Parts: sequence; C-alpha cells; structure tokens
Amino acid sequence: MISPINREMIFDFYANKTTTLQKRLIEEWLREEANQELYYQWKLEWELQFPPYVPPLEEPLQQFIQYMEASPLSLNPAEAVVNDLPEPARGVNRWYWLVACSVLVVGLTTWLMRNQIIYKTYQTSAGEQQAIYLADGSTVTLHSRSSLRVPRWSFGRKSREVTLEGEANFSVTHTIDHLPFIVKTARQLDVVVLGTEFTLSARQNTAKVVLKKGKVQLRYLENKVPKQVVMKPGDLVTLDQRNHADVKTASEADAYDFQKSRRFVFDEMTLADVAVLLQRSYDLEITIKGTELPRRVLMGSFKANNIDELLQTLSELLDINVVREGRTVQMAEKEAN
Amino acid sequence: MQAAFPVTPSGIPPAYTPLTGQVSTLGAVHHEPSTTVIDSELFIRKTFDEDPKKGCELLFRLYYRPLCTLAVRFVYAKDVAEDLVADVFYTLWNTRAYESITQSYRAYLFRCVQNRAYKYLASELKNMDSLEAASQQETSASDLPEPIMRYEELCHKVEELVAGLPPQCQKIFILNRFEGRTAPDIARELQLSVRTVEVQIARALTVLRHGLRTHWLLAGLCLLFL
Repeated sequence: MISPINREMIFDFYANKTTTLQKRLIEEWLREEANQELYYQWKLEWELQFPPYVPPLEEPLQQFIQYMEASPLSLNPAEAVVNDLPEPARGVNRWYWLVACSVLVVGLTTWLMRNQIIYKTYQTSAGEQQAIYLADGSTVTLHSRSSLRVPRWSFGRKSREVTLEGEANFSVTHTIDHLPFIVKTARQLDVVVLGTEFTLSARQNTAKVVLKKGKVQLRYLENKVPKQVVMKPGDLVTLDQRNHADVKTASEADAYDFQKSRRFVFDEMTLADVAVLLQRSYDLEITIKGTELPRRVLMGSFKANNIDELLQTLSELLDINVVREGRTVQMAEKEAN
Repeated sequence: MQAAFPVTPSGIPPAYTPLTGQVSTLGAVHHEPSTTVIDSELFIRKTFDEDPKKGCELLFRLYYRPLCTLAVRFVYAKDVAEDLVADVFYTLWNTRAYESITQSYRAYLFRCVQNRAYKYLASELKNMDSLEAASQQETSASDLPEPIMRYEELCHKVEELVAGLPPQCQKIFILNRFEGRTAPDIARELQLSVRTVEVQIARALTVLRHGLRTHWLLAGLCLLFL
C-alpha cells in the first residue's frame, strides 16, 4: 500500500500545520510499530532543525557522568526491575506485564467465582418450588426461599454432598457402593443418609427433619460438642437455635407443618400462573372457568397457613367462587344475581 | 510556534553528525524504515553491551538537547525541561531500563520525556483527577497511536494558548516562565511595577490553566467513550 505520509507531512504535523484529515491519516499510519520508530526519528530531526532554544550540554552531561560514577549499578538486577518506567511500558516489559496481569485477573476471577465454578446452585424465590434431579438418581424438591448447592464435577463419584439453605424434600437413592448422601447446612447440622425419603428444613432459627422412609443420621454441634441422632421413619427432629435436638414422632400433620405460615408473594401474576404454581406445590388440579378469569392479575403478599386458607383468600380477593374437592379445585366467576 | 523564540538551527550536537550519515546510507540500501532505525543505533547498542556507562553517556550526548527542546514545548520553562530530561536519564541508569528496551533508544527516550512532560503539566495545573485517569488509560493503550496524537495535541494546545496571550502578557510570561526570571527582574527590564508583572503572570497562568483543563476534560471524555 502506498502511504501518503512522508517527512514533510509529519514535519507539518509537528508544526501544527496539518488538516484534520491529514491527522487522521497520520493516526492510521502510526498504528504500525515501524512507523512509530520513523515518527520518532523524524521528531528528532525536527527538534534538531527547529529547536525553540539551545539547551546547554556539557554541564548537564558532566553532572550525569558524575552521577553514574557516584552510584554504580546495583549488582542485583531484580532490584533494578522496579519499573519506574514513566512511559507506557513497551516491548518485552509490556508483554511481561500483560501476561502477569492476565494471570492475575484469571486467578482472581477463578478465586472469586470458585463457588459458581465448583458448585451449581439452585434457588427458589418465595412461593416457588423446584424439582431437582441429581446425577445419582436422587430427587430433591426445593421449597420456597431455599437454595441447594450441588458440586458440579465430583457429585456421585467419591461422595454425595449437597448444601441446603432453607427447606427441601429429599428422595435419596441407594448406591451399590453404599455411598452416603450428606446434606450439609449452614448451622452445624449434617444429615447423613443411605437411601431414604425425608424433609429437611434448615432456616435461621430452627431446623427440622422429618423422616418418611429408611434411616438417616443427624450430625450436629451442640455447644461445639459433636453429637449424633439416628432417626427412624416417622421421627421429627427439631433443633433450636443452640442446636439442642428434640426428637418426637411426627404425625402426618407435622409433615404439613413445613408449609405452615407461608407467605405467598404474587408479583403481577395472572390467576392462570398462580394456578400452575399451586398445582406444582400442592399437587392439586385446578381448573379456571371462563376466558376472562385466568387473565386477572394478582399482586401482593398473602399469609396463609395452608392451601385452604390461601384459596379462601383468593376467593375473597377476586370475588370469585372457589370449590375444592379433594385434589380438584374449581374457580369460577360468581353468578350474577 | 517558532515566532515566540529565537530560532537557532545551529543547535545540532556534533556527535550526531556522523550518525546522520549512517542513517542516510543505510536508508538508501534497505528502504525499510524499521531496519534503518534499529541499525542507526547499532553502535550505541554494542556500546551498552560492553559498558553501560559509556552507552548512557552516548545517549545523553546524542539526545539530551533535542529532548530538552521537546519537553520545553510542553512545560514552557527551560529549567523544568532540563530537569525533566536529566531525570529520565538518571532513571534510565538507576533502573537499568536500557537493558529491556527493544525498540530504538530514541523512541524510548522521546516517549519517556513526552510522558513526563505530560504528567508534569497535569500535576502543575492541579488537574490530577482527570489526568490520572488519562495516564492510566495511556499505559494500557501504549501501542495505539492515540497517546502520540494526544502528546502532539497537548503540545499544540499549549502553543496555541501562549500565542493567544496579549503581547505584553505573553512577553512577561515567557521571560518569567521560559527564561525563569523573577518578577522584580522583569519589572526592572520592562520598566513596569512588580505588581503589574505579577498580575500579568497570574493572568497568563490562569489562561493556560483554564485552557488546558478544558482540553483535558475533553480528552478525558473522549477516553471514556473509547
């Protein structure tokens, strides 16, 4: 490519006699490393041709030589690497920096993101439930406002460890090599399982475990003393804030208690969306009659101790008829009287 | 630019002449700018291998003066420019930076001086906040032509601002800042009151400061959008 850049134009540039378009050309031309060299060579020539004054040379030179003699080079080059380079670091140096910085950035990111990289986290918002199928065949139903952290890579190979915050139903499969399934919580309580079905709730102040089938072992710290409880099916273990365990046989109602005093938050959801949510959470079959009704929008937070209370609330709120018969629920506009 | 100063083309240091000859002959053989540039400093590079002190001395002899004239276009003060350039050489010696220079010494030194001049102006005008951002940017964008263009723009801006000063103000400013003379001294020479001289200096500085701050703010804004 023939470049229109020549010494004259660059000299004009130094003297601020170039047009904007020429400056653009020069800028483009300067992208070439070799041209930058040439640029400075011409700059030197220009400075020599048109100096604004004549600086003294001999005196500062003698001072410099004296200085060099007075402070001989440090023999340790590592010391000298201290980069006081005031200018944009270039060449080899710059590459060192670039590599060092990238390594640092990658390292830092990995370190900061280590949880995201090592673990996969499932999270539910208020009123949401999520079914999780783990690699070993176990299933977890994560209740509202809970999170479950599962190792991304090693799960099911050497151990089966998950971390729960909040509340979930576990249905744990038994493996041929009797690999224990361990649920860790943030409150010094671990549940060790060998294939079973149970519900664990580990919120801030209390933790509860209800065992449906099989056998689980609770390991926890009470006043920093490690303790263990082995649960039988039907047992309900409640741990208070200080991790004091209370074992009792759970009734069916207690299993439902987990859902107790739940807060339902609907953020501009249509009734149809709400129905889907309830169907998933409570194993109900909900039918909404009419075309207008499913599109009505709900907003706000409702407190209900159980599904009947919630349905009641919905009925009052929307002024509709809600009829529940076992697992089927029907919603319909009130007949106009 | 030269209007404000006596132009003396005789400022070529004697040591440079033989090397210029070398440049032209090599240029004729190769036609490739890069080889010419590297080769023209081959002798200095060899000297550095044998005796770094001698090498530094050679560089000083060769480039000290043009570097001072380069710096003075930014800082507009002889003594500041000379200190600044000397400091670059002292740093070169202290940090053994010459060992890791891969391009020409000339390009390296010119960059150093421009950068220092740039930073000096910034701190002088107490415009650190916007400039710090600018200088941070420029380290990361070292290879791009923007810094070079920015140096040039800044240098032109300074010149433009000085040229735009009223004649009397400009004269006093140059005597004071460029020549480094004191206000009473100037007042004696121009037969003015010291107060007048001081006012004129302050006015010139305000114009420069204001002009450069605007310039920098604009440059800073441009950087943000890059």
